[in-house]
Amino acid sequence: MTALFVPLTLLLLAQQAQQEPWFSDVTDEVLPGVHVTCGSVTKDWILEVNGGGLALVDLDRDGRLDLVVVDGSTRERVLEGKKGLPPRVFLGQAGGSFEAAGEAWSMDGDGWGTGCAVGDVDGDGWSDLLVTQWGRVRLFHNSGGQGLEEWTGRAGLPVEGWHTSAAFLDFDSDGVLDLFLVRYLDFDFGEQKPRGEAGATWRGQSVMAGPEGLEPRADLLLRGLGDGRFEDCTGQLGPAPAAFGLGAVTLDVNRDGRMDLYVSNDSHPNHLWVAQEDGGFLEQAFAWGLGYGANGREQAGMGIACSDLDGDRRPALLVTNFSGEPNALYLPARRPGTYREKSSRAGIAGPSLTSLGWGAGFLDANLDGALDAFVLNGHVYPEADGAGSDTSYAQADHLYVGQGVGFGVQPLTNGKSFVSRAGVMGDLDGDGDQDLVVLTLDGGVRVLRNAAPGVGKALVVQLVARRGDRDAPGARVELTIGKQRSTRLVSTCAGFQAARPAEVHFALPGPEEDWTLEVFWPGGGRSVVRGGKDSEGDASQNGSRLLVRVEQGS
Amino acid sequence: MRCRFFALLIALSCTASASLPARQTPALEPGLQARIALAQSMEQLPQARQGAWKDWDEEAGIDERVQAQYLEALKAWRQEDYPAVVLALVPALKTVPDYPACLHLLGHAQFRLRRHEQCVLLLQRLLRVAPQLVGRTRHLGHSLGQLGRTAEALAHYDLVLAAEPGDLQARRGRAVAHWRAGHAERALADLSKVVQLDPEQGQAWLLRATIWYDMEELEKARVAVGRARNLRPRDPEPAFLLARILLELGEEEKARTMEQIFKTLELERSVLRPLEGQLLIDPWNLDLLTRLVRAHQSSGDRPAAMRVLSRLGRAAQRVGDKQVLAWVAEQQEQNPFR
Repeated sequence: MTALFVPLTLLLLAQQAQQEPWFSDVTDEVLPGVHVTCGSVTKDWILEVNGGGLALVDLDRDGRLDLVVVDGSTRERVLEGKKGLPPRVFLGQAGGSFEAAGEAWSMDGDGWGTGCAVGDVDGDGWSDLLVTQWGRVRLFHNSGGQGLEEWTGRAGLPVEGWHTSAAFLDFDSDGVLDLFLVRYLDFDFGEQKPRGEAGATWRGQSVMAGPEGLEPRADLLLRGLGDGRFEDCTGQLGPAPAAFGLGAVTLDVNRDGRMDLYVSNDSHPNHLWVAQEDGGFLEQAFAWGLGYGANGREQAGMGIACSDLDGDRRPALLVTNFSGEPNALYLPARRPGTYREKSSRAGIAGPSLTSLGWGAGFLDANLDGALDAFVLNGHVYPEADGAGSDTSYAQADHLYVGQGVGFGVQPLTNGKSFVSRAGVMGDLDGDGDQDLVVLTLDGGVRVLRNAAPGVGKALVVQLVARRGDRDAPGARVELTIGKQRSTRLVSTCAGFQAARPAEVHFALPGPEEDWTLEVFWPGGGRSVVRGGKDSEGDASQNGSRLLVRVEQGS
Repeated sequence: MRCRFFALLIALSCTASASLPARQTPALEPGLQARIALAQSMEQLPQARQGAWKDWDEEAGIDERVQAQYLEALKAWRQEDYPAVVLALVPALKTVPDYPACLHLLGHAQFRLRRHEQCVLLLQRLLRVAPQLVGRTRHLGHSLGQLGRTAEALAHYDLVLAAEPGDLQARRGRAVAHWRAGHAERALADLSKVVQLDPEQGQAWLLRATIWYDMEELEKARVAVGRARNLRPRDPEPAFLLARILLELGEEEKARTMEQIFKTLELERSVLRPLEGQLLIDPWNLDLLTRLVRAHQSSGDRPAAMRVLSRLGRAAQRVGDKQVLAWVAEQQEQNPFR
């Protein structure tokens, strides 16, 4: 009897653990009262629905992640000639809480803030901040961890348009960060009509107009000059139709060591720009099978998660989409240079059908070695709460739990619904697992602490490059344990209007197993770190986290 | 549309009457027999159409207003005016909440309007009061699938197919659900049955091709998608899949040609889809119908253009718009196949 009872009890406990949400909302404890604005709550204009941006970055290099919140504005402020709401910096404190940063870190309000990107544009060793807006693109130089200085005027960045996501990358391998800017559409309060007058309907209800019927804008590529200035080199992207661009990631899709770009487009096929030997790009989404959904339909691409799921060095892409469309999971196909959309087979299509997804990311939430994915949800139309919509305005965020083959879905938190938008992951409390910060539309910035039933230990890798951005964006980091390999690409681009820390996280098994860490540096060169039961070296232990800092050339 | 609808109704009445004796047992809850009798009323549809509506359901004592509302709903259904179906039947169901025929028709209208949660609620309610009609509720499975409730959809299709093994749409729906649940072989088995019974099922060929493509059976996929393309030449999906298959087979030139065909068809569909979506909600809108006619004309789809033109003519007649009527007549005159 006891022999039967014990396994049953364990099974029940395991099931209970499965049902407990893996992330708990600790906003009230660590970041109370931080709200954002994005126009009217009735969402009369398309400009009011995408929300602002987030960045998690250690700006003052004190070992704790800091948070940047990019806020929006209102139509009234625009019409009155008032500046938009300013971006804000919150410095990370011990235990994973945040405090509003002082005057040195303050930024003025300007346009209608949308997103941000992080990178060291002048190679001085400190992460700088780029803010996208409906309006000019802004650059803030990090003054040696002491504060921010606006460099917008000298940077040569676009001065108008609706910019959504941005990505820093060194596409010409000159050791200087370049910039890719995603643009959405032409918007003007004077030219477009509001909900009700525009004649736009969704499921029989009058809603804000767009993006269909409005003019898409082409994305931009700018070459960094190394001193905080940029020059337009969009021609390097080659021919590609303008689209309603929302999300972006950098990736190395063909494993040639050059950074490629993938962009999720709303109501248009997604774009894949593959870097060529001559320094230019070629848009090849169709050829790679990354442009459309499984059935050949263009979808309303919003956010993107990107990571190698199975250690074959080829990244998988998860693109979040509109309600009624599944989130699309593109996995590398057997034939080189091709992908297949496998959301149905992976268990993602069904659970995502009634949700409208935004920010997303792959992470190993429970440190079991299988990557999971978070997807933030929320509709664009408040009218989604009306009868017969099959969806709702506020929605539950999802956690797709990696199960070797495919994913199982569960609510990200306690099942409450929010109108979520951008999100970013990072280890806020230094315990090794990755937590989340989520921006809700016209609501609070939420901090979700990882409380997953962890089975492993985290290996956190921080790189120090010798030239350019010391965080080494574009480096590939591989962890080999026995015959098992996991790879991560260093990037600060978090997929939708957000920037994430450059450090990479792996799950480590027990201390008795040996492991090898290889770093393939951008521009060439390789470093190897070995660890395990006899490991020594530049590694520090903190509870369930092993931090390894690898310097180029060491 | 009309034929399909009456076929559905006739089938519904047959099922109801066929299973009636088995259900007439003392164990039935009070009122259920009366409700089943209501479902029987479908048999009298021909009389109803001839104006003998009052004879319908007389024994069951159904309110005359409900019968009028149901007739109104049937008329609206035939005209593809699904919002009007809803408008007519919602008050009818307030009067007689468990009227099977109303629940059935309203569930189908909600399905057409892509209100899948509503469809599920109505058809589940129908099955609570008239479980013998399960064989006529494949749309419940379709809607569950659309809502991502794959396991429930599968379970329901099993019930439908147990009652109606020859329902090919339900079988295809179950194949989709199997596919979503990761059971490729079971999906293929269902699809094999579908195309065996009706080789003209383009969607079934397409899904077969999709599954084989996923299973790396590229040659099988190519043959199946070829069948789908022949059956659905204006559908961009088979062209998309064929382009992907050709690319993976290394036939790059053919793949590029097919990619261009796909993009042309997709462009046409991107114009048609929003118009068709708006017409679901606003079925008499002359402007939308005119634009839809023109979209079909510009893509060279004359049969579709003529179908919509005919509908536009009815809509113009309804409001007495002489200008539109004249344009419709002019366009119809130009049809050499008229």
